[in-house]
Amino acid sequence: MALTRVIMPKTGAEMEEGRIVSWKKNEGERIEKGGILLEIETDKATMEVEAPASGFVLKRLYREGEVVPATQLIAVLGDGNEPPEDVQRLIRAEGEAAPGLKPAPPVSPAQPIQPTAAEGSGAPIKASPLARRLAREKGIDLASIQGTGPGGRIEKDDVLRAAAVKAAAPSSPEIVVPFSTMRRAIARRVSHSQQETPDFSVTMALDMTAALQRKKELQAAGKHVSINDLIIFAVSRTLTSHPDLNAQLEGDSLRRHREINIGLAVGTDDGLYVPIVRRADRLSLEEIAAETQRLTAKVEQKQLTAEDMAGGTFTVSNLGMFGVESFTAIIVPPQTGILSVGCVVDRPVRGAGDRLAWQPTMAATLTVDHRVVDGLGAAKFLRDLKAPLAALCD
Amino acid sequence: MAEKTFREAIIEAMAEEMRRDERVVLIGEDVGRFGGAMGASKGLFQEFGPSRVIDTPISEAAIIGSALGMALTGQRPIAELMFIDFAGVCMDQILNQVAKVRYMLGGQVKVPLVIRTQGGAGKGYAAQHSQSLEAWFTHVPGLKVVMPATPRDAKGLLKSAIRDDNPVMFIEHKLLYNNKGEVPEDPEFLIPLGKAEVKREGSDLTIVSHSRQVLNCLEAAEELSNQGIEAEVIDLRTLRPMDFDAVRASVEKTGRLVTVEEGYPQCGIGAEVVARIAEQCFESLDMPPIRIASKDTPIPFARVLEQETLPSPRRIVETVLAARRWVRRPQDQRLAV
Amino acid sequence: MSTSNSNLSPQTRIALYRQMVRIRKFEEKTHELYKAGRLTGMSPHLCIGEEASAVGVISALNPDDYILSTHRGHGHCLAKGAEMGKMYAELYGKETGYCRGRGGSMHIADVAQGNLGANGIVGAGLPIALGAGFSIQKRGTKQVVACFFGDAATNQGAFHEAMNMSKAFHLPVVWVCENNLYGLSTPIEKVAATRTLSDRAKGYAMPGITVDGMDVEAVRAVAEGAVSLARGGGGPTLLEVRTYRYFGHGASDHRPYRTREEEQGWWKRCPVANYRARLLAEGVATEAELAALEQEIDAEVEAGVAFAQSSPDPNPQESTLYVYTEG
Repeated sequence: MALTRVIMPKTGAEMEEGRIVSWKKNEGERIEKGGILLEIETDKATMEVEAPASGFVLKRLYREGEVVPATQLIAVLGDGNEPPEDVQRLIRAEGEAAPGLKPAPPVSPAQPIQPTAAEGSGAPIKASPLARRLAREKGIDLASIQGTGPGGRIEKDDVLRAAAVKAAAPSSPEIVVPFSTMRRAIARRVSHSQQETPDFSVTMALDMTAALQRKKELQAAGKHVSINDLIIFAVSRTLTSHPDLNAQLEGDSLRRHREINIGLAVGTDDGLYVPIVRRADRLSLEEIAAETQRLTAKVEQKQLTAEDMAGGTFTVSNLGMFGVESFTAIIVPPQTGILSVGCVVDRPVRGAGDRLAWQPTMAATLTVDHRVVDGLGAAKFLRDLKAPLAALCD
Repeated sequence: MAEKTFREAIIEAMAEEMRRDERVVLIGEDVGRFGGAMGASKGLFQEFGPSRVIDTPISEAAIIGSALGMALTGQRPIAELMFIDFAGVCMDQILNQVAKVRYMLGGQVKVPLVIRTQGGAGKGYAAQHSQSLEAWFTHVPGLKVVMPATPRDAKGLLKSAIRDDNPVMFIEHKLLYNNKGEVPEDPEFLIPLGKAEVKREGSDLTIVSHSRQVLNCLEAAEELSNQGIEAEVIDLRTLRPMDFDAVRASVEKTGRLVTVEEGYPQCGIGAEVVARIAEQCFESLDMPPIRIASKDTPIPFARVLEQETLPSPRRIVETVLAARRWVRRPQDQRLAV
Repeated sequence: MSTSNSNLSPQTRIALYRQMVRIRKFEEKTHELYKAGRLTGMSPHLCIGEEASAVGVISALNPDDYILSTHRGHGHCLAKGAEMGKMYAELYGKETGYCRGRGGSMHIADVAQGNLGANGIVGAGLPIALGAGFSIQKRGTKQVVACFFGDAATNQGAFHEAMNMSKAFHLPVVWVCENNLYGLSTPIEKVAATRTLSDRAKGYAMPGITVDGMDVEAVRAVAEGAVSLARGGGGPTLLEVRTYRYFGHGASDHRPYRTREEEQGWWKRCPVANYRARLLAEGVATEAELAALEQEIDAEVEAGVAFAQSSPDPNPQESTLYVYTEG
């Protein structure tokens, strides 16, 4: 039997690296094809990796907590009769082909991170065997320690000093939390978006009377529909006549997507997830509600898959539940627009007969890529949002 | 307890064992009437007579061979080889006969034999009378090799060597004979072979040595202590079988190893200690091990050259200080950071 | 040789013959086994032709006397009472050999019979013999040490140290130089100061006697004298036993340093064949008796080989046993 390579899977077009969360099999243990070998965390979600073939786990190349670039070799399976040199050769070949790894700082709260000059420098770190062992045991990155031994060698005392600093950290007033994989990905994405996309925002107050009425009626009939569902419903209908906002910039061209897949931003304690309501324009309000409920449940149970989050063409974000009246969101690349809404606020308006009336309104802010859409287009979109909302109570 | 010289301790050990067991005999050059070239058998001929203290011609091969023949036929001989440098003349008997006969004959015989000899430099005796050749014998399976540094150790170890049923090379150092020390008077005072002794405790580094250099190490340790560095000094006492457990325990505590020996620098006792530490205590090492030995030359005659050749407390201190940037402790704490 | 001038009893004489035949047949079989690839290591050093030396001297010893032997020591070992089975087992490197397979041919020894060992170092047995002598002297027993060595050993420093010390201390030693005329390929006469090796005794003020080593009774006679002298406290004697090894130094030695004529001359003087003829001629034994004796020894050889072949190898896990005496 030939050796089987297990690689860090590329779970999405933009997925560049994954963190090994936990190995499910030790070296020397047997696994069947399809069995779960390990759990990884990507920028989108935590997921399981299956064994591509049956065999024994001959080698695990990385430890839990380490971050590995996508498609890089992470384990070798075999039947155990292969000569060790073959395994070593395979591993070495990977090492030569693959780009260098970034050692991951282990995730632990209140751990001070010093800027690592060694990162990317490629030079081996001089440290005594004892210092290496202590650093390993205490979870301190050698690259973050300044050695005071001959030639800058890191010695035991240097490690102990770093450990003392680390141990003393809880009493310091400032807490530094390292990024999780997801946070890093989000940070990267929004920076990219901010830098690359010349965007602008337009805000309009939406009359939510009809929408809220419809919501109430459905509630009475035992069907739960959220503000998000109403917005997704309205947006999906509006996008059918604003294809440029359901599109993707490709160089000098704009690819208008066939489907209208609306992402709903869902914030959790461990990050922001954006599950997609596929073909939202084809779904009724109730169907949309069912879908968002299904997806939010998955988020809560941490079972959201990459697929659930793939293929979005437009995104909706709602901070109204916190009392936010309006805000400006950042476009999710490679989309061209994002709608952020706030809470429903009763505003006094001029009603029938010049009488003051209360109208439930919601501020909706559309942020668009100016390369694709001008102010006119943005304004028209917002104007056109009103119609489907109003139509909810026909 | 009484204060005795190293020489007196040797004499006492042999006398007590010869009284205790009539099979113990001493054979060698000038050991009888003259009392030994180093005076280390004084009085034995007078007490035990010519059948048990035999003065031989200058015939090293015959001396060691005789001792072996006696050991094979029921005696427990002590053969004195006047200078370890003369081992060349009788090397076949030691290497190919004494060390191997039990094994070659499949255990049909035992060899309860002690070869007492002395070596070492510092008296201007020049190249052929000043060597430290313990590494040669420590290399050979079938022998045991013992080197005491103090009168107490000399007595306890020699008695144990005489009572051991195996061939023991008991190597004295010519500069130690007049040193004084407390020696137990109990005729059953024995020090087991194969056990090192921590002569001085410390937590900053481990110094491993044997024979006379132990005294230099202790002197160096005092000076290092004045500089805020506490050295642990281990006296191996027995080179084969070596008490490596003691060395390992110390290095695991201090993380730093220095070996000091009077032998030539290449392939010496220090090399064996360092190799074992690298094999077994790799992750305890905070610093590359250091070996200190004589310079790689025959021992010179001129005093100033001889002093330069041998390890000294000054050389040990300087080598240790240069090894790394020691952080001096505050005087009252005595704990290097 | 048809008149008997022997003062030995018929039983003794037949016993001498038996021992020589034992040695001869043991060695012939050893040679056969080695050539057939059944024995490993350095080829055994056979003493074929020298039987009368070992038998003549050792028959003059008591069971509690000691011997020291050489690398060519099978004959000494057998003559001192060793069993063929344990000897073959040692040659085969088996656990049941005298040395548990750890010594082999060159270090073979039956210590219980007083054989302090064959030795692979030329001349190394002499200093050790001194020690046995010292032991005897100290104990005051009337034991004797017979130390065998070759002609070439008399040029080793250890020989001279031992000669000197044995006389200076009046040790009860019989020095037996088996002069087979060659040190491997080197004729002794080319590299020794004296041709007659027993002359060396003069330098050590001890009796030196040269004897025809192909005549077992002649060897026996001089040995008895030397042994008696030593046992009586008269000190050491140097015996030079003139003999010949018919085969090479070892199996690979095809003897280019000797002529075939010389060898044939010595074959005519074969100690075993000639003594057989003498025993028959002097009516000490009949042909049938000698043939029967020889057959017994054939059987002894076969049994010894069979024992060795069926014996177990030493346990590799125990390879470090017997380096030291434990406890």
